[in-house]
Amino acid sequence: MASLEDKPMVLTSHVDELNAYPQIFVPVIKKYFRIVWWADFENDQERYANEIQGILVNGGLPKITSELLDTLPNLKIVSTLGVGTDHLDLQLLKSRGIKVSSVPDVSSDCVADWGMTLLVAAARKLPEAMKSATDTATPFNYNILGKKITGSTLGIVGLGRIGYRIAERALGFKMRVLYNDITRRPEKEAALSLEYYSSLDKLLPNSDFIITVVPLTPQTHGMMGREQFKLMKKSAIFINIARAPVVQQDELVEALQSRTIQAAVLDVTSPEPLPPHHPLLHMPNVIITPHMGANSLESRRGVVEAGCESCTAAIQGKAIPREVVL
Amino acid sequence: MADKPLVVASLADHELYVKIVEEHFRVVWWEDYIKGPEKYNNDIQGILVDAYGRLKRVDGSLLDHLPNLKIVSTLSVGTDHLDLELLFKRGIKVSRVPDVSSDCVADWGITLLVGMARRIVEGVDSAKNPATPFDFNIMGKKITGSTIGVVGFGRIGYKIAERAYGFSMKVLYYDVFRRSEEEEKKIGATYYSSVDEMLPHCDFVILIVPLLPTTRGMIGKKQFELMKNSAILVNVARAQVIDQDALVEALKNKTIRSAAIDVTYPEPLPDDHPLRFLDNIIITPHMGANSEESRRGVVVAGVKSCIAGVKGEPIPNEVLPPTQKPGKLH
Repeated sequence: MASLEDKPMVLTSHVDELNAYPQIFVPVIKKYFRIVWWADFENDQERYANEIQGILVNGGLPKITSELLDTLPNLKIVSTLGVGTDHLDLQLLKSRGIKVSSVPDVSSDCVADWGMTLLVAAARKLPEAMKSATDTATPFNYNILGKKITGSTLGIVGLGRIGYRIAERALGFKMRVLYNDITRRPEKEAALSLEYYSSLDKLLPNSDFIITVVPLTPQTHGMMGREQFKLMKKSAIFINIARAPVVQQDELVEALQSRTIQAAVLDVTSPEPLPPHHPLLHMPNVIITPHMGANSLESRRGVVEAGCESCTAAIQGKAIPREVVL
Repeated sequence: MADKPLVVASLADHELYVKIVEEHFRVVWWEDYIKGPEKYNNDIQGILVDAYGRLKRVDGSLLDHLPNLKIVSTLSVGTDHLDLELLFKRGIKVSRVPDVSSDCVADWGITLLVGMARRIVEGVDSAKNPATPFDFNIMGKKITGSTIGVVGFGRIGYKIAERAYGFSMKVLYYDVFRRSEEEEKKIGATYYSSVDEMLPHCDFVILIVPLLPTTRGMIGKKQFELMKNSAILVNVARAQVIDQDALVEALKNKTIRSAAIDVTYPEPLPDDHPLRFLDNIIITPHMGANSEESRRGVVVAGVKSCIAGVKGEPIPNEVLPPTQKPGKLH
């Protein structure tokens, strides 16, 4: 087993129990690397710059800029510890010959579980129910009536790894499942008896629940706006576990205020967190959660582990698992 | 109007049901009945009751005053709030609604399970409550691929298992009756004839048995000790299936990880009850059957049975005395 001095050096952001890595994951990283925390790097770039061979990006930090790259002559790879790469300047990294990896698969089950959790909790008003039974200032109310789940129709926007798993779970509830995706997926359709819609606008009016599970790309940016909410049923519930900019957030607020749709659930917002007076925080028919899709211990640890594996492989000049091909 | 039979009704929110009930009956609502029962007693032919209204128990204290009562129709699955022995003795018919809300309750059981597992209540509080910091690291319990123990494998229990199977959960179940091989195979379910033997294998335990002498207090100190420290308990049955004081201890000592209960005793809990102050519990106000469709369906079915009972016709979903119906508990 390599001693500490033999392990390659990587740069990463910081530990923070609420906002960054919790301490429990640091030992995972230390199995593979010597760690330089961002604050230490900023204070003493000369000491570390030449030795850094990899960067682990968590929660969008550290931000990869050309200035940063200029200081790291031996950098081989940027490994982002998550599914998305929309926070990385991929063109910049390509132009510098730096490899990129992500973790698109380890947390799929966990995020799918979360998507369904948000759907059922919103449908059956779980947060409101909890308050009614436990908050002594709120009356105990036997008549908090929710929206039917069994036999209802779910429209999945984006049938990737996570979207497909959401479909599997929805079928357990005997839901009818429709999907829209830029790529039709005939085998997946057949396997689960899904109904494909090539047009998002045609999918929307047929759905009791809509869940967006797409990557953030120029095509998906702002795909859910005023027109889309108008096309949805008045009784429909909208759930976003993708990226916040997939939704035109101000138009969502309008749609909720005018009861164009019944309710919304957002695991992601612009910004994160929302400022305290933001209307979304004060609407009873809105559930907001702090970007928790991948938050089981197993999943988060697995993501860190996978990211470290990719980073190590690049440093060793081997084939890189989960490489993002630029 | 005078031709319609008179019933007394104690239902949770009668505005929801007035139209349905009044289509077939003259109704005296419980709040009005108790103001002057003598006006109504001789004319009442049916009782409509559910688990939520002010009339908590149908027993001699009411029945002794209703000489022309033909039927008690409970708008619920359970009948533990009825003095069945007395009703059968007096030849009064009884009906319930065992099926209409099954999907709805199964949906709710799973909602509580996943909601507690993934700590959604804490998540919402973190994001929406200005007094609580925004926390990216609220870690929940793995659901996919975990093991669920379903205690009670009737209509609702089986539906819960179907939904769990959709999450690729491994299904174990306990019931006094074993399901067919085909039914088990469909959802990969493994039978246990003993709850105590099943509990140590479970990441989640969900209770969905009727309240009977054999199920009262079936989950107590011993059972909590048999469960994993990391396990989550969900109760969508009756509160008395759990020894509630033992539950408080188990949660305080972290003998189990957490619990989500839709039922308590009493309902609601007093303001100072320890369960209100634990951070590893979800409590909800008896909402299993709470979708609009389900509630309406239950009233329609209950009214139908009540009409039949008043008319002396065969009664849908009649609850028969034990000697007449051996076998299935569900």
